[in-house]
Amino acid sequence: MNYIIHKILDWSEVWALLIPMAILLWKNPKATYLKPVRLFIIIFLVINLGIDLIAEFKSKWGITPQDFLWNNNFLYNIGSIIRLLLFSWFFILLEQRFMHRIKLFIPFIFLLFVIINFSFFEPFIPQGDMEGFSSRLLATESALLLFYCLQYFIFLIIEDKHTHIKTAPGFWVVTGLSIYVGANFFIYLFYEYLFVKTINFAVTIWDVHNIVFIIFCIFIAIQFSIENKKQTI
Amino acid sequence: MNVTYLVIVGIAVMLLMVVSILLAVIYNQRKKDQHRQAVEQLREQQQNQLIEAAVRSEELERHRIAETLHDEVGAILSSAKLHLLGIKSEVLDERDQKLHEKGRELLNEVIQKVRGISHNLHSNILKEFGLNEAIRHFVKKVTQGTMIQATTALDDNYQTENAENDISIYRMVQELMNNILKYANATGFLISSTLEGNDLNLVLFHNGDGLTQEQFEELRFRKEGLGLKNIQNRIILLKGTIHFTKGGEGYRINIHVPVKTNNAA
Repeated sequence: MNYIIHKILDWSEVWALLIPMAILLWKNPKATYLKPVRLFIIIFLVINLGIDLIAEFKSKWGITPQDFLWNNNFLYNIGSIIRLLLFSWFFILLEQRFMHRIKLFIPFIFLLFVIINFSFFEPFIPQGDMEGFSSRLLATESALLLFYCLQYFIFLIIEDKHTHIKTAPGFWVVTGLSIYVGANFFIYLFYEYLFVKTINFAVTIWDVHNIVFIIFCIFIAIQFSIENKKQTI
Repeated sequence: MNVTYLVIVGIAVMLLMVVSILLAVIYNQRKKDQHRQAVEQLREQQQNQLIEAAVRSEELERHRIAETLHDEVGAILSSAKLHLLGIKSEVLDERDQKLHEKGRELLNEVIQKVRGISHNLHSNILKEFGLNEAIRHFVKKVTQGTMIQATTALDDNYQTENAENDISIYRMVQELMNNILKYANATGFLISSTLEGNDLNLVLFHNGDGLTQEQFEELRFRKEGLGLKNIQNRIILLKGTIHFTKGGEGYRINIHVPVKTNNAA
């Protein structure tokens, strides 16, 4: 039973994305600010499918370091970079006149950080069992996304214009994202360390990551559904 | 400190922080909602007070004009008639006799007109005999001598609860009836009322060319649509509704007024 639950959670990075994908295909929300989120769903379906397939092949057929794509960690790094860029675009498209310049600068600063980090401090392509998974990159990305989420909520509090909170543009996506990055910040920050020191705990805590990812996907699906209702009104 | 605990506590703290922020946003939105509602209520209250003041001053002005017409102009005209009657017409030649006769006729007509206008402006009948009788009297008077076949079917269970409300209802009926006579080319007209609980429902039906709700909404914002604007103001004041519809046989105006609300307030 535990094995089945664990397997379901392992594959949640793929199947959870099918929830917003189904709503996306069914309702087809056309709001411009959701364009990055739509791309996120499609790109991450491919990336996460790659991550889980590599992990599955590795556990079933014992892929060795000599084999091509023997470690899926570099896909997490690519995903992290793409996620930050897409959600930066999403927050910019929301057109909240608050910390606008900072929001514009963050993706460039992040890209500079990525180049410096992977040029001088960490390998981008995996060489060891845990190598390639960059706690530094994913934690930085989480912190920046959390900053975006916080400024979004602060703007909702201080803005004069009255908007109904549940139908405020992007509210559900940002809520889901803030839960996702909020819970994952410490997981990402210490994951390399935990993987080396206490692998069992690292595997267990990754289930928390998967659960919050499912919640995030559900919230995105709610946003797609609400946006479609707003269109029809 | 053990890193595993640090991770667990870290996750808990971060989730707690996210939840706290969400609660703060929701609380803030509720506060904003309450504030917006209070402002809207205040604005509505102010608007109602302005409308009430405008309607009251209009009514006072009508009374003043009616009294002036009746007491001053009417008295002068009656005196003029007496003087005219004092002239011995038999001593006049045929041409002057005709002029004397014509003058008398015109004077009588103008006295009747002034009296009619004075009664229209004043709400004496309304005050003495109530809304139903005032409407019946008005409908009879304005349709007399016209091609229009008017029918009144008013609910006699209706008792005046608030005289001010009755004046507003009466003025609306007057305005609508005048519009029908002026523009609709109707040959049939029916006004009926029913009292249901605390609500008075009035229906004005005619078979001419009338207004639809869309036309009413459009016209009441025009400069020339002052009468319709007045109707709308009185409806707002009475917290009622008015609805214009086109049916197969003619046009219908439904007025719904809660007749006891103002008293309760």
